[in-house]
Amino acid sequence: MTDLDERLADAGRTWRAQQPPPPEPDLARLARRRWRPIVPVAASVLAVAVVVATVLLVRSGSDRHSTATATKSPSATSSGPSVTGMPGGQSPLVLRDGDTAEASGQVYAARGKPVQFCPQNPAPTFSSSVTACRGGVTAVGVDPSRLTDRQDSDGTITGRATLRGVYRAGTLRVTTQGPASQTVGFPGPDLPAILRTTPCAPPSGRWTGQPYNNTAIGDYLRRHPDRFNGMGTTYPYGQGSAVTVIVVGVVRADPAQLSQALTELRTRFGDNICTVRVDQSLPEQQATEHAALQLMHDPANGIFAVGGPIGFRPIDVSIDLLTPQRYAKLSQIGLPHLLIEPWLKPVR
Amino acid sequence: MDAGAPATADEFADWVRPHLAAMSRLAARFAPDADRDDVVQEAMARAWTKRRQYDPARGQPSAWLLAITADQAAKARRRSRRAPAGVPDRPAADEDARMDIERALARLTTRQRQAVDCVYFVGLTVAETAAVMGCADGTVKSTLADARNRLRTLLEVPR
Repeated sequence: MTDLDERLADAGRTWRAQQPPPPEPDLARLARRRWRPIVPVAASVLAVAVVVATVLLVRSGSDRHSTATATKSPSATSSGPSVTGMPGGQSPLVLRDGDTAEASGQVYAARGKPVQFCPQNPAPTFSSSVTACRGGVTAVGVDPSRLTDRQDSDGTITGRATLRGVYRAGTLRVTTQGPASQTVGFPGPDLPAILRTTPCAPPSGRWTGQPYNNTAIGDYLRRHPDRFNGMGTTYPYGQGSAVTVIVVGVVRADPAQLSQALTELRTRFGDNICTVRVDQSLPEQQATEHAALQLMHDPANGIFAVGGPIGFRPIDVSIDLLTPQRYAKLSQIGLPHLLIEPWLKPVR
Repeated sequence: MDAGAPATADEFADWVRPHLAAMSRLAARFAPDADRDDVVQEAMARAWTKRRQYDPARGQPSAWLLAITADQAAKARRRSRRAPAGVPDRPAADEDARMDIERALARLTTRQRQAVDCVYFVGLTVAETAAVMGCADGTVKSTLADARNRLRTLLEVPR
């Protein structure tokens, strides 16, 4: 067992020990349920097809800015960060005084204090009772009686809403209030678009089911951090298939270098390998992530999450709102290497 | 119903009971902001209504029940508060080590985190994890390998 395995196993044991005992089966709840007829096979197949189509639609829409598709030598991290190449505060995501803006989030209305409107709980892996907003804006004109999941505790009203209004100096003057949106999907960074398909042609017309040594490949890539960054698995014939392909990021490779790296890796580790171009090495991307984390440590910058899959996508930066001043700070890190996702967005 | 799920509610409760701890842990990991016990009870109710569809030739009861629990947790999660991937606030000192891991887990892809949650936190086998994630055993293994590679970088664990 490796050190990482032990740390994970320890964390799991500790977490399990802290869990309350499971509930007893509620027989009354069972008794209220009736038999559900078994769905005919044809209808089941149709339903599965519809579900698959829906999942594909949701997934294709959930990678906010990546547009990479299957090609022989794609660039994994140059395909569409949200605010790339828009110098001088010209990004459509920058929020300025007087702009109309909209977001769905948490509302806190404590007696005698201005109403706060902020992103929903930014800690999805923990159950937590949030007692105050972290970041966000002051909201003027909210109707607390119309909040989604409204709760009233000792005079403090909390709930969720979608609010649209005019932003000025940290305050949103609400013009429209609606129910909170229902985000679909497990929270967390989704699979980079480049890994949703296998972005290389198979070596001899068809990928084979040959086994590969994932650890050996990882070791090799780590020994060459300036050449390689990012390693992921794709399933060219679907996730139910045993055939997998290892996708490796090659730093700033031109087509010839990409082909050379592919030959090198296939010679060492087998044919089920694919190479794609990435724009930063691992040390460079870690430096980018570190710089973004440094900004996150100052609450005034409004950043509530930094991270995402290394290698195949720019570093995710989740921020409550992107003011021109914050945009300037993030520009110093390098906008092409960041995937900035503001919570409160201007409505253009 | 021979060898399948029991026909009476009492028998069904006895049949489910050995798997309740794992179902509860799965609900807690997959829908942390939802009412864990409600998710589990709803999963049991769903399993009860679908019990004639359980086929022991296709898998263990645990895998079938856990897959239903994962489905109910997904529904509960959509109903409850959600957020983009985030980093928890500064933890108490005695939770630092576990919190480091939780913070790192929040930076994995959805599938990677599900695999780590199932195997290390819920304590499932690879086969049970495959049932929960709706994929092959090999896919679980490769997803775990990808997750470990990413976690080694995030947690700066030497090889």
